[in-house]
Amino acid sequence: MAKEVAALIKLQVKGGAANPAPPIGPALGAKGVNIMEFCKQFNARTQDQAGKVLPVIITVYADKSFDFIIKTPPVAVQLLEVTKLKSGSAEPNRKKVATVSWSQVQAIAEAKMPDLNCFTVESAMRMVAGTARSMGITVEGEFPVK
Amino acid sequence: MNYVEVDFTVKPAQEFNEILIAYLGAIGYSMFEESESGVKAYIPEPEFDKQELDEMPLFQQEGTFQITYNFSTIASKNWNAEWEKNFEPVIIGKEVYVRAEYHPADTAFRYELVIQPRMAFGTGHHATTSLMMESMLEQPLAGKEILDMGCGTAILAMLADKMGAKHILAIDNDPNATENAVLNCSVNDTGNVHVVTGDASTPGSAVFDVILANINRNIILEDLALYNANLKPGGLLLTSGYYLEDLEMICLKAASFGLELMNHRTRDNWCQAVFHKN
Repeated sequence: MAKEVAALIKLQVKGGAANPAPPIGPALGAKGVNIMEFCKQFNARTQDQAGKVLPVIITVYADKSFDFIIKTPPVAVQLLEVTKLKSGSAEPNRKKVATVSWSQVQAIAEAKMPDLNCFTVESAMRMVAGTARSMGITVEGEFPVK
Repeated sequence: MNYVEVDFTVKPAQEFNEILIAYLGAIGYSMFEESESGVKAYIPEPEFDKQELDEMPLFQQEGTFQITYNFSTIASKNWNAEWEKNFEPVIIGKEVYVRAEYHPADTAFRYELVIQPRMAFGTGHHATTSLMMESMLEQPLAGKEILDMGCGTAILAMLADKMGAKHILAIDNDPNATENAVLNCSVNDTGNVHVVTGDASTPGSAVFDVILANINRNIILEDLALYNANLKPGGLLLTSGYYLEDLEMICLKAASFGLELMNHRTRDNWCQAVFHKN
């Protein structure tokens, strides 16, 4: 029989950086979960993505056990990584701070596909390009026609 | 440590939350909680810089969306108290009994450790801790010089003390952990454990017969050179805190220093491995 779910907790935590401080501490501690156990697991599972912001969905069960799934980094985080930027533009419509290629957009779209409400890579690419524009990042060239 | 919670209200939240999170991630914020109205971001109080926040490009933008924020300090407290107030005692390798103060003592075990974790890692419940302790029980530690890196509650250092180690240097970079380690050492009367807040560079030129490192893959990889330098010829390095699939990477790096894999054990895919310095 499936275990009774007591809570669903959605957080975003940098890979390898979970610690028992807020928001992890209060969110899990109040449910009687051993916070240290979660931190050890989360950090061990994210050693390859240390320092990247990762969405995590934690399911806490009535018996105080838990499991969690880690999603791919948000599109904006991946765009900063690709462009080596610290932040985007103060005037994204007028002042562009970086450029990315459609192949880079496609790579991000494909990585993020499982988490997006998109049926095709093309629609995911348009979503990624939209986020890039909002950050003042130009996507070079024409949308590749499939 | 106190933390600062910065509560951002973002309109429209859906589109700009993730951009805000990405920018905050780049200036040192490491944990976030999204809501319908925006984002709550968290940072240790000493690292909070309001000016840096106000200079973020999102605050300079006009027209596209609105963003405002409030911040407050969240005082340090034991968030793990709920779990800690009724955890089960743990038996490791038939010889070690780890319990809380509220459990009755049990003299049937050779070694008994009383832990009040207070949000430090190491109660024996986690596979990595129990694997390390099982591995330690196989080693003759009496009279040995031991280094415990990332000591947490000092559970491993205290077991080494009970097994007769001559001196144990227990180090953690988290002051909360070392404060707790000192408390536990006092409760367990483990006078040979010396607890210090620091990192892998703290031991300096001191050398040890056995080094214990239950941390994580990246830190172990990063600090292997220092562990090797602090290990006497013929000494042992006991490691854990990583998954079985990470063992190969650690073995390769260890081999580059002449550290030879002696044995390893696993539980729930967690791995513990012993290396020998020739």
